[in-house]
Amino acid sequence: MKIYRIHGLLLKHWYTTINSVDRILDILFWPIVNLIIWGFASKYVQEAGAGEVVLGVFLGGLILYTIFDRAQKDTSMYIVEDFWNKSVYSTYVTPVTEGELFVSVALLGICRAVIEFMIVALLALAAYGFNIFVVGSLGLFVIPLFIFGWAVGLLVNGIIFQYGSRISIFIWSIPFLIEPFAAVFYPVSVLPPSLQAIAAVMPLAYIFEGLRAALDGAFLMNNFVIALLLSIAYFIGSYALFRFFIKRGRRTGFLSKQ
Amino acid sequence: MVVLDVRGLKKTYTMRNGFLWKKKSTVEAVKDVTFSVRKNETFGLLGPNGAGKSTTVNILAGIVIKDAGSINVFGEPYSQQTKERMNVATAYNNLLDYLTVTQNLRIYARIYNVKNPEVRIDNLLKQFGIYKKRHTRYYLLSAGQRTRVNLCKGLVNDPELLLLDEATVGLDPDVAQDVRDEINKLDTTIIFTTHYMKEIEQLCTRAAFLHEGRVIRVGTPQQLLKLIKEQIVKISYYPTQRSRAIINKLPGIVEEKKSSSVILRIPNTAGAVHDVLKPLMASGLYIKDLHITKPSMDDVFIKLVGKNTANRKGDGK
Repeated sequence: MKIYRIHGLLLKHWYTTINSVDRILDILFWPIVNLIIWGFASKYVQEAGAGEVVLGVFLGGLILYTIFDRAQKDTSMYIVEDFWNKSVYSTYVTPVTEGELFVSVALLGICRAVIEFMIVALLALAAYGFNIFVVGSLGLFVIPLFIFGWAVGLLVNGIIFQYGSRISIFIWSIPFLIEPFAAVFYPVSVLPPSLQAIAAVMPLAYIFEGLRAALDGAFLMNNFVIALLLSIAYFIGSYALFRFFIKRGRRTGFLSKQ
Repeated sequence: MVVLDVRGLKKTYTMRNGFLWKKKSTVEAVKDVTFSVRKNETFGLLGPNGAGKSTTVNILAGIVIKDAGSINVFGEPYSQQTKERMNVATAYNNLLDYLTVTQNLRIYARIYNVKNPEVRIDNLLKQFGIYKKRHTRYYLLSAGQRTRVNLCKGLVNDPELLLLDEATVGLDPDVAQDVRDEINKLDTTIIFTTHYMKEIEQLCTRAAFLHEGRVIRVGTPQQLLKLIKEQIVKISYYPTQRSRAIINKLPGIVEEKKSSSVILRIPNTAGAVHDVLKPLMASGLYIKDLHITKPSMDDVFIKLVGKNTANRKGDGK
């Protein structure tokens, strides 16, 4: 792994971002829209007698989910960018390795997620008086959130390296498929038993259960450890698949035709 | 010094049609490709569509994995390290559309760890006459300008081995000639694929003819031209009794004869044209026009590919 090649890829992501209104707006527009909708919804439910906790559950879930969402989308989008530009050939004839590709999008995802998190968290504080920074133990849950986001992003990339950019829709739809089992806004216990079984292998479910406990002042160490181990396991599997599909793309000649 | 040594390269593609339920078929793109390229040589790979040129270049570029054979570059087996000393430019690849020319080139300069990248990029853009477009977004460039930018990208790391795949395809003749002139000035080892025979004569020190995934002939353009044993002489004259008598005695095989012109096939040797011209000049015959067609690489191409196809059909029976 060479630092200068990662630097080259980061330069590419940077130029792609500053030359694209989409890439700039997507860390502002949707998070803010979501915050407004869920913020007012929480206020309404709270005033209807649901209690103080509802604001923390909804807004805390939303704010934390932006980290997973950003890590996943950036891991996919910035690698698939070459498919959209028909520049796959130019990138993959260079000595750049799969590891360098991943590190570059992971670093980019961290930067963009931190920016998005700060914007949403500060807006939540200013508009609804919800301060996520006081829930200190959440800092630890950010680690499995990132790792699982990268894992899902790499899995989507693998699928696109197999079938091409015609199925780029997975970049945006996979988080929606995962969300019901992630228990972002409700506890796992409200799910039917069959769906609880799926949630049991979903790191996000442990993370958001941890969030709700943290809002009550507790820290669920078990949840953190399970979330971390599951995320790492998914990451290892997704990274292996990602490498496999790139190699397969080179073997079948698929990459040379993109 | 041999920069590139390719031995027994093989590649078969498995095609799958359909999305979920796929039907398999195989295409042997490269069956047996062997050649070597010396330092600072411009080596041509030519052949008809589907001959295996691009697959060979794609394997050398590292974007396609070979099935069998060996590749040695700079005296060592092909690896990630050797890729750092190579580069590729093709007419078919694209850079990032919404980035400017300079931004695109900066990315590759960094990936290849180029020292003083800004100086290198500016020099290349000036060399290829595209400096004024350095702040233009890539998608706004014309095909000729894109080709030049792609060449700048291919040269950004000052590669010791440059792969050029159909570098001038789709360009206007004048732009293609400009690009060929620039390629001619490059001081590096080049592998050049094309199906324009004229480019081989203009650019290459040696060339390999590929047909149906095999190398069928390697040589300098001069050696390859010698495969054609005949040249064509067309003489137009005032038709008189005397002129017809002189024309009838000329050496060579009559290809076509009209009342005031004749087309002769004569051997492609040094003295053959002289043997035709000498009796004409000596007789004082008034020649209206004289046209000598030397063998071209097109003739070599047709001879090699045509003959080979014919042989294979014969083998099949």
